[in-house]
Amino acid sequence: MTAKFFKVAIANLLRYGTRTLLTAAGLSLAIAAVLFVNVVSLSFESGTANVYRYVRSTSNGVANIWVTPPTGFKLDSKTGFFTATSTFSEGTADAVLKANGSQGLKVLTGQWPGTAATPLVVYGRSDRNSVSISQSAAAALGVKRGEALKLKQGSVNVAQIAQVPDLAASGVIELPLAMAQQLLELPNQVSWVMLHTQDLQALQQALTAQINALFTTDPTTSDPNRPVIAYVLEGKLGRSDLVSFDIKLAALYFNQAGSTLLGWLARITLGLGFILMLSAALLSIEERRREFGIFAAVGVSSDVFYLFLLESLILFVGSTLAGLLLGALLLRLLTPALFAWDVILKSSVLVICYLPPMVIFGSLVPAQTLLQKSPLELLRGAT
Amino acid sequence: MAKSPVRDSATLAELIPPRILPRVLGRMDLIVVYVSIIFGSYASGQMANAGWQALGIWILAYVVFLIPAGMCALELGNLFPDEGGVYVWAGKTMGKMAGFFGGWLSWMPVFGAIATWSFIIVSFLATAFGLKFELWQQVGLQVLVIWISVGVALFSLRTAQTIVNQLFYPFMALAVLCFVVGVGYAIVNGPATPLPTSWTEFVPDLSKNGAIFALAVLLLLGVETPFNMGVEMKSVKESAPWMVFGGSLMLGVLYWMTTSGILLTTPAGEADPYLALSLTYQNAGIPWLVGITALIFTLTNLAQIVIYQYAYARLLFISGIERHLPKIFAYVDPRTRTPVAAILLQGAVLTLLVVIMYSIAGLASATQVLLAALTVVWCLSNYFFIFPVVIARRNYAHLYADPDRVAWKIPGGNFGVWLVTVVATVGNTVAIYYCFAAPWVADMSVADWAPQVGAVSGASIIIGAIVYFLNLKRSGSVDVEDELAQYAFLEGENQ
Repeated sequence: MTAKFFKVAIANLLRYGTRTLLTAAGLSLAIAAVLFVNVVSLSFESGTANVYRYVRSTSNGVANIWVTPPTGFKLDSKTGFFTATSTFSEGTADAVLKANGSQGLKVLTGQWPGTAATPLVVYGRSDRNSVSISQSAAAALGVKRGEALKLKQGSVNVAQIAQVPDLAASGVIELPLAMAQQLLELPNQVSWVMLHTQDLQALQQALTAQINALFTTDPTTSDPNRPVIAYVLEGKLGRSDLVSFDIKLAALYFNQAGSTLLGWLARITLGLGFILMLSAALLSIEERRREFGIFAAVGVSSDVFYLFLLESLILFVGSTLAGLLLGALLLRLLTPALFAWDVILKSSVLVICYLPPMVIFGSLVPAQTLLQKSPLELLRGAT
Repeated sequence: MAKSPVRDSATLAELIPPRILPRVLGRMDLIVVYVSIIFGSYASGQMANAGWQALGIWILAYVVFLIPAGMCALELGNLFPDEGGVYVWAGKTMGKMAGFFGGWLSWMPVFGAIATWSFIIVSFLATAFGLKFELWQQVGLQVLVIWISVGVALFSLRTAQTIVNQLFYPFMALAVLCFVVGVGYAIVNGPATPLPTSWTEFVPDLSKNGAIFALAVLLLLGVETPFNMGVEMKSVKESAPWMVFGGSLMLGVLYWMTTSGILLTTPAGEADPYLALSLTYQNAGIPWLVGITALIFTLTNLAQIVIYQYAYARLLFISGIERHLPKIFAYVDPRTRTPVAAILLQGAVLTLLVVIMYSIAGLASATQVLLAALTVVWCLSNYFFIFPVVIARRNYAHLYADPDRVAWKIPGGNFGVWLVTVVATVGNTVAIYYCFAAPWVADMSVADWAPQVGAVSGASIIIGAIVYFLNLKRSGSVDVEDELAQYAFLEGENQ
């Protein structure tokens, strides 16, 4: 039965070959556009994920608590690096560390105030006593290992190059915290504190009681009425934590890139492609009245749903495959910097998620339209 | 004698399904369906936050909600053993509009339930293999989980039920294992949560744990759902009491055992809210059991959402038959006798829902607002099978007079019915109240939370109203004989 329907579906699509081709072409273009936007979004998200991993690294393991000012953190659009929306006093930071057995890392971050052409990130760490810079930062500043890096208050020798990964759009300069505070003119201030704890509940109780910290697993949370916010990077606080902080953060930045005008245009194009397919299917009902009338007259009209389902499936699967290939080709030709097979594969998975709803709605609508007509009605108008 | 011709005239929902759907669900199948729909592998971990008092709260929730609601559903299921459950019960007692809304409100929560399960299944999978999924993997796997469940639900009901039955036993075994390991751990190391020194510590203190009580009620929702497949039960009369009372007893024992097992190995308040039944073995010092149990829970939870898929699709199917929804949803595959279009629609909407969830900036809070709102909607749908019992006793006295028709009814005459109805209403209303009054997101205030939950719940009702009025003309002009004729080719082959 399925094989029979499959043959009929293929025959019908071929019978109206030009229309099928045009519909498939429209859908493929839409899919290619969505793939393109997804690749951009995933590349952006992947860049922020690298920064996030770097920020989580502390001197005593991978941090699982990120304590920031009450308004939280954001992604600096110039550097592509996380920055705190404000700073808080080193005294508060010390109180936070004390609650964790004085284990943790104080960080002050900001933009290099010097003359580098590209924006550079200054990353002051309480566990550093020498200067390390990334390769791109070294190139931008024209310094080599052992050479002096000129700061406002003097100069220091660069101890290491390339020990700091190049992240997002910027190079990174790691400094001792005190030096960063002088350079950024923020004495006794920190951007955040990174903690590694084995006992989340005890830390939460201590920090809530001692400094009224707010614990959350949602990267979008902020509360100006608290002294600090503690983002829980690993573990769950309650039943609202269906997904991890990492996934929430990834979704946040994936959608930030996808929410641009380009992203919306791609989605609208996909919607238009779907409508194009639907109109073609509805038009075919009128043209195939005789065929459907006979189906209905012999009592197999309900099975026509499967016919529409198969036609929709063939059309959407074919168009999606073509669209993905086209999108990959366009990426290769137009933006080779973004072209990477692994990113295309990941983006394709997200594009394919749109496929089942389109196939189902693409078959339900014409099938319902057909079911509203009686066999007589269909045969009467047939030519 | 019936009081109006409307109440006595058989509707399409009563006439068509018995002619085309096979009676395949036996007693054990129904117990599996009942327990699987209500039992959440995450429930005990969440309840364990209340410490040993959780056991008392479970009992209270049983007394004021599960048992009375179960009795209402059982009586109506006996009186009207039709496909569509609450849709038919409310329609026969409160009118067609109430029937549609009862069905609509009962159907909407399937999206919250399956979307949540898909998150949990992927989390169990990650735990089983010690993986950490990236965003694209998380979304892709959740969509895959949904379509695997759709695929199995599309088999004939007998085949799908047999598959989920096979996974039911390991599921139960894991619950028992959790308790056994908990007791063993407590004997060797002492209980992780100190045992109560007095029985009064089990007594629920609602001033402190009101939200946990509401949670317990919410975790017991779904008692009416198996009746959506009324005509597919071999014998409602013989099997349904076993399902409701036997299933409830089984549920109670399982929840008590798993909550106790978790409390014995994990200090109160530290249990993982979703994966506690696997992660508890980490605390118990048997880490190798974490992965194995997580893998089994991946499969058993998948079986549970298969049941959700086919049980809830029956509501769409019945609405399609009555033309309150497009006729295509009444489409039944002639070979499997499954409402294919309805199940596929659920899969399509769920896929969109998952994709949209990840497209919202405040993913965590938006998801919880949606889930809370759908829970409110689910609780509202309960009124459509709690109140009808009182009405049915008055309007269908002649049916009650026939012992063959109503083999089981709430004991105690009118007093019994009123008592059960009032208690169930109070339990249900308290649960709704706490959905608004106790935010599910720790860092949201009630002032922010309640309006959002209200707006989403209201939107679900408004969408239902729009659908109802759009299809009103069509549903009123259906010719019964013509419709029966259209299904004639399916008759006679359904046994």
